[in-house]
Parts: sequence; C-alpha cells; structure tokens
Amino acid sequence: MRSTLSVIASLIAATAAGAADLSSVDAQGFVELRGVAVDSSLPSYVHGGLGLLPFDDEHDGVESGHFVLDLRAPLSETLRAQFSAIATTGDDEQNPVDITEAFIEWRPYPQSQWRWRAKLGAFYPPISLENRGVGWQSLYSLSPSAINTWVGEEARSVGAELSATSVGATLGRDLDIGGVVGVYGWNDPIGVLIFERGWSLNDRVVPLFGGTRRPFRMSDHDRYIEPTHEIDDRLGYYAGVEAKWQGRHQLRLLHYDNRGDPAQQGYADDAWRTRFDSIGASVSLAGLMLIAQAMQGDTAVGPSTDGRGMLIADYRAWFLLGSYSLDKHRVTIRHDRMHIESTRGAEFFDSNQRAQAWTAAYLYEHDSHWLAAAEWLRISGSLHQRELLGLPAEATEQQLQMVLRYSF
Amino acid sequence: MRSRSALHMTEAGTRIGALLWALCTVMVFAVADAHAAVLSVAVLDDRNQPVPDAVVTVTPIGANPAQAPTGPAAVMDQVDLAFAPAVLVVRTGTPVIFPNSDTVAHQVYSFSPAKRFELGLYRGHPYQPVVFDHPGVVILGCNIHDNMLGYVFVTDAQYFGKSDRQGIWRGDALPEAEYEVAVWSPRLPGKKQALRTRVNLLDAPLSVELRLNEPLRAAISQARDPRDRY
Repeated sequence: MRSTLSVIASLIAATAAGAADLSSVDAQGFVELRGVAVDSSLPSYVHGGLGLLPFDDEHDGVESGHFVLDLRAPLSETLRAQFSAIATTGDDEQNPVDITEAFIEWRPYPQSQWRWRAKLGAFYPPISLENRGVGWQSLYSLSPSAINTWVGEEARSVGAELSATSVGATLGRDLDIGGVVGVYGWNDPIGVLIFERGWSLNDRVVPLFGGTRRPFRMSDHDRYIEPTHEIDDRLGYYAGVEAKWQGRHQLRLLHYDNRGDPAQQGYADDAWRTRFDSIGASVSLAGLMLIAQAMQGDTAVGPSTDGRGMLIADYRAWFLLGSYSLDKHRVTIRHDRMHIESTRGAEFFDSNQRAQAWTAAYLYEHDSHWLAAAEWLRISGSLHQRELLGLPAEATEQQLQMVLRYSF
Repeated sequence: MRSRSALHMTEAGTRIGALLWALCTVMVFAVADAHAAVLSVAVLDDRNQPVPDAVVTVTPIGANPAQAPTGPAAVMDQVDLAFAPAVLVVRTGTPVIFPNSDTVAHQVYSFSPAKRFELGLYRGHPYQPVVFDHPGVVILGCNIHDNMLGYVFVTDAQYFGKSDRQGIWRGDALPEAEYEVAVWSPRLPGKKQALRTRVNLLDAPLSVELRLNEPLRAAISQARDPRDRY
C-alpha cells in the first residue's frame, strides 16, 4: 500500500514538473540553525524513549533544524500543484529528505457567492489554526500545541477534499460560512503514536514516508510507527463547518473518523479505529491574536467480539494561545492540557497520560528573509507507560530553543 | 450671508430599500457664500464619526450622463496581498489597469453584474486594461488569496470622488445648478444602494453633512500575516 502511495506522490510531482512553466513556480522555504538546551532526565521519544520533548540531554546543543521547501505550480488557469518537502537531520528519521504534502488543488473562479475548492493528494486535514506558515509551520511559536503536533505527526489525509464557502462580502455581509468534506485512505495507524507515547509538543512533522521511533517494540520490523499505511481497505472521512466574521474571527468544527477496522492486522502496525471531534476558534484584535482549540475522541485496536477493539483509549486536549504582534516583534504564550485514558484492555497495555504544558515564545522578524526566535517549553505531568520501563510516571521536562532562520 | 436648512430624504425603490432608508436621516447643512462655487460633503456614521473611503457622486439634475467624458486610465494595484486602493471610483467607460506590485502571482476576478471578468494568474506585467462600461458596484477578489477584497465603483456622474480620512469630499468650481448627491460605502450592510439627496448649488458654495443613521460594517480588512501561506 505504501507503494501505491509512492506512485500517487510521484505522479503528482511528475505532473507538476511536466505541466508547469518553471518561471511560474512559486517556491518558498527556509533553512535554519537551532541552539537547544534541555532539562529532562528522560530520553526523547525521537530516540526511542518516553520523554515528550523532541530533544534530550544527549541530543541538544547546536542542531541544524529543518530545511523546508514549498513549491506551488500552476498546471492550468484554475488547477495548481503544491508540493512540500522537509529535510531534518539528527532525529533517527528513516528518510532525511521526505515529502510532507503533495496535492493538486482546483480553484475555479467564483461565479456567485459560493467559493468552491477541491484537493486531491496528500495534505493536512483542516484542523490547525496555528500552522499556516511555509512547510505548515506555526506562525506564533516554534512548537505547535499538543493537538496540532499530533495532526502533523499522524493525521495525514491521502485522498480528496471538497469545500464550499459562502463569501459574505459579495452580499454586503460580515459572515463567511462554509463546509468541508474529505475522503481518504492510508491513515489506518493513526492513534498508535499517542496511545503508546502520549501527547507531545514539537514541530517535527512526520513526512509521508517517515515515521517515529516506537517506544514499545513487539518485533524486528516495527522499529517505526508510520502513519501513512492502508491496512483494511476502508476509506475514512472528515466533515466540518467553518464560519469567519469580518474576515478576521474564525470558528471551525470538524468530525474525523478513519473508519479503521481494528480487527485488521498489518505488517508493522494494525488498523486503528480513530475518531475525534475538533473545535477551534480564533479572534484577531489589532495586533492581538487569541486562539483556542479542543479535541476529544477515541482510538481502538485489536479484534474483539463486539468489533469495537481489544484496546480502547479515550483522549482529549485543549489549549489557549495569546499572541501579540507589534512591528517586527511577536510574543506568544500558550497553555496546553492533555489527557489519555485506557477504557478497555488496560490489563494488556494501560495508556494513561495527564499532562499540561506552558509555552512562551518570542519571534523577531528582521525582514522577509531573516527570523530569530526563542522558545521556552515546559511539559509536566504523568505518563503511566513510563512505569513499564521502571521510570516514575511523573516528570517535568523543559526545553529552550533559539532559532535563526533564513527564508527564501 | 449664511443660511442653514435641513432636508429629510426618502427614496423610492424596493421595500427593503425603503425600509433601510427610513432608518437613515440625511441632514444637509447648506452654507452659502456668494464668492465661491464649492461643494463640500462630509460623510458621518450613526455615531457621528467620519466615514473614510465613502464614494461621493454629484450629478447635475437633468444632465445627460452619456455626455460626461471618460477619464484617463485608472489604476487598481495589488500591494502586500491587498488591493490598493481598496475602493476605486471611475466614470463609466474608464479603462482600469491592474498592476501586480507583489512578488507572488495574483488572479483577479469579479462576478458582479456590472462587470464580469477574470485576469489569469499573473505577476509583473499587467494585462490590457479592463474597461468598466456599465455603472454599478464591482466587487474584486483574488482567486489565489481569498482575503483580498476590493471595489470598483463605476458611475455616470460628472463629479465624483472618495471621502478622505476626515470623511470629507470636496468638489471645486462646480457650475451653479441643482445636483443629486449620492453617497455609497462598501460598509453599508446588505446590498444597499447609494443614499441620495438633492442640493441646490445656486447659492453656492455648500457644505453638506450626510449622516448614515444605521450601523456600518467594519472597515474592509484585507490584512493577514505576511508569513501566512494557507
């Protein structure tokens, strides 16, 4: 199934390269250098541990950070291809260079108050209100919230999305209102990462052919949790509504269900049935941006007589973010709460997390090329899985990151 | 000699239009001076605050609009992912050039009845000017950047302009005549028509104060974070 995915991604890339006039390609990206200091006794999940930060005591100091390339190429008057790639070093990633998004978007000219958009390919579902920058980076901090970290790690849609928005300005009204529907495959393992590791906060998105080191290995061929696999040949869907007031204030609701069959087993991972409801709101007042998002759902795996799964865990998270921008400066404060609880099969594997996080970030945008940023992140709380490794469940981890980024 | 009068205007049209009109009281304060022919229009909102970027048109009563000459080409630029100006007023038949001062490509369109057009993806050199040959409000969008919003107000009026930051438009050296003064703002709720009143410039000059007795929508906001890519 990964080979099918590979063919899809290659086709989109080849179509884009073949059809697009190179001079019309819109290319953006960045390279960066990071200085990282970590205060945590736990090895990072990136290196197979159960620390929730992407860095740890043995992997901090000067890091090369990310290299992100984002290409947009018109294929025709109303059709365009978007292709995003990321290169990250030093994090045990299988592919140092990989694709994060590859899709074709149809943007017909609006002929009435309704604006239609359609996407085909691999892209993020419309959940995050933070990740709006090049390479799906957050505009407000370095590390996105726990919710949007997870979207970047596991919620990968490879399929089709259709949205329609009634644009209020065309009617002399302040309200835009719209709906979105997505149908996708290759997302059967979604849920396994937060089930085993718990919620985390990091900007390490998992690319289409990438994965995250598995904290609890069962065999020789399951070293990585890879989110983009099709195991049960069942399509998943999401459906949502969005309202925008005066083009500035936003409310977004989404229901996501990968319709996985928890009885189906794959080569490395089984199919997980993962469903959630997501709500997000943002308010923009002059230089101040306030964002709140919440998510609640469950994930299940394994055969059971009632078909609901042998292991089931409920999860929820929310965050509040305030960000103030003045001239070239931006200051952001965010508070995250995360919760996971096994509701079935805890005797086999008890997934249980109660944690909170504080993030404080300062971004200085010198010009359109240079960005300097500093971020302090503190995650504290309990993760029961640590006890399975003989560690205390409770931990407080802190991380300071300084980034110098050149965008082009 | 200075005199002051107040006129209460009503407008025929749709029932909705008439209802909305009833909410508005247009106060005209005429200040006469025998030595100058100047019309000054101050546009105020329902809280007596000045309304900038309101379109003011002044038409002599009984004049044939077709006789009004077409002006030179006008410019609607695109700067920092926004239409600049956000509101452009042109006489019917005026060609408008749409340059793109941004480094990214834009795709300008309108489906307004007064002018339907599409300018395919472009950056750098603009297309041939678009001729706005029917009066009315033309709402502009960019098919790439959904936040972009602009207006071209196309009018047959002989004299026209936009209110400044103080909400004032001034017409200099108008011939002595009776005129219809119309004011329109993209901030009027719904598809509201221009508000109209008659003034007599025989006792020129006049200072006209137009107060819109209904809440206006928020000012047009095309702004977004320049780092916003989605």
